[in-house]
Amino acid sequence: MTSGSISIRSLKKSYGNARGVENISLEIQSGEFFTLLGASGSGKTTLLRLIGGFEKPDQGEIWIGDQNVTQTSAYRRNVHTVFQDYALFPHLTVRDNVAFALDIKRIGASEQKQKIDEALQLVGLSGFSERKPSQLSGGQQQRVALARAIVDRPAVLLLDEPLSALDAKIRQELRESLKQLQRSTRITFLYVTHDQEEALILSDRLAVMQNGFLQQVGTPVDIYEQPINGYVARFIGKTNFITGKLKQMQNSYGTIQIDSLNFQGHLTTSLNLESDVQLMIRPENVQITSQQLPHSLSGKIVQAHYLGATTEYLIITQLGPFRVLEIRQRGTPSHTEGANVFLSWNSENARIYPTGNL
Amino acid sequence: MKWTLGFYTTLVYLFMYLPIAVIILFSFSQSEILSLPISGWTFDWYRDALQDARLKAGLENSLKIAFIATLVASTLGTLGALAVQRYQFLGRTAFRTAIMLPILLPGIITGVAMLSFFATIHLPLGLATVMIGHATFGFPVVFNTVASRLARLPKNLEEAAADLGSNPRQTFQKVLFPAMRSSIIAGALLAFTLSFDEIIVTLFLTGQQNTLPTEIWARLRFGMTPEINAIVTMILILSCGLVLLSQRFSKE
Repeated sequence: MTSGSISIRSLKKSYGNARGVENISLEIQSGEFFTLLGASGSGKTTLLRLIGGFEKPDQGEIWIGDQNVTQTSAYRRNVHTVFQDYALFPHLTVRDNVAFALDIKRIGASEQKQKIDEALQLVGLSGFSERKPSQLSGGQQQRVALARAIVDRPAVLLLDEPLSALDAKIRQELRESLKQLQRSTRITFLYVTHDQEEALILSDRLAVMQNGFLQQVGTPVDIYEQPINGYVARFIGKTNFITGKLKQMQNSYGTIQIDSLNFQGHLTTSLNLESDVQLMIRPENVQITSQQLPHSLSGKIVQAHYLGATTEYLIITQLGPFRVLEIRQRGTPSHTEGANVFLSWNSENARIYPTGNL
Repeated sequence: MKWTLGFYTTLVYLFMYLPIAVIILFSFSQSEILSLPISGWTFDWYRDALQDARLKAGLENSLKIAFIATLVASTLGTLGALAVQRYQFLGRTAFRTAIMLPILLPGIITGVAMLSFFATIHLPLGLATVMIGHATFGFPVVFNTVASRLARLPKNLEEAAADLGSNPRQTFQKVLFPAMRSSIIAGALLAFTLSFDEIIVTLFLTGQQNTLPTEIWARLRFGMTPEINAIVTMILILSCGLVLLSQRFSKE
């Protein structure tokens, strides 16, 4: 099998003054499930289209395996794409849609049949081969698009928000199928989404993009636990922020001051004393107590949403609203709406970012 | 209330279709004079109509004209639809509107305008000029059916084909053309039907030869005959058949 590694070197693409990608370098391993995560306009789809060959970069190089494909036409690249709106051929049956790439390659009938049957079985559509796309549901159509794209085992599969047009339930089902499909075929998957939950569940590694730049590349755990800046912290999961001035630095810890209150957290980058900073703390790392503790923040619970395994609180403090997630083994939520409480956290779980970076 | 509504609906349908029903009825009547009650039934008028040399010549001309006009209209209409749906260019909206004009304009305007144009460029009138005239209103008909099909196709169909390894020529042959084929056929059938029974533009642009509609029109000056009933019934069946067929293809 050919190597499905992708190497992107100083890639740049702009559309007049509109969004594009800015000087991106990225290495993706063969067989990896890699996700580009970002809001709309972050450049993730542009990057995907550049790799697919639908757009040509202004600068930089794209390598797939040991081949420089920067100037190669889309139809000569060993890469297939699963489109957001499926893009099935409406006049062809499911079988003929899946056969398309094999036909182009002039693969013999018996080998075709075996490959098509295998692909349809992998996506769970064995009984549907004689239907037309218009006779299938959205989820089934996307499965056909998947079968069509993996039938001749490309080095790389590009997936452009393949689940975003589907209902929540189908989306979850197909998400599982995608992961299994990637594990069983070991094709490199490059997946584009704006859904952070999808990105965390599916990916071996992911890249968070904003305004055409890569903000952070890492495993889901890296990115959730150690977001590199305020943007990434906000984009992945829920967060609480306190803004203040940096008063003290010691080893890798800093102390920020606001309204004569002091809080400690990890310093993520070198900063100047007295500069404006923000301290980030995840909702599940905040403890709610009835008694005041050192460095705690007083507030009042305005919402308590009981979700079974967890309870979500919204607490108004003197520093603004705070979200707190409480995980309980059993029993009723420990606090009720309207209660006056104190919030505290372990400073190891708090991170300090410059405010300039959102 | 329900009864009244049904009554008026029936009246409206009678108003629209009774004259046609009468023609069909009389085309099978034995009597040469169109009068009720019908004394006996016959297929003779159909035989006579099909053996009439001038009607046959007219039919032949009509078919020739419709065939060539449809061929021209289908080619231009398909290319026009591809241009408007797949490419951005200066004056695209104006182009679109300009294409639609020939079916919006009254036939008399198209007729007069083309007549004076052909006179200016010294093109003698004949079947060829009628073909050109008919192609002008066939073109927007084909354009419309093909453009609306293209608009309904997935946007990135061609990208999907390229993505799966097909070069631009294969993409057109294997994906784009098959996906529009039935809409081209639908538009062509409609253009053919319109050309086949067109009379106003034809009157202006024809030379010595008559088409089937102008031949019938010429004969009507001497009164209605049973052969005309027979031939009109045949045209009716052909036209309805073509339109129904066209609708089936455009839905595909």
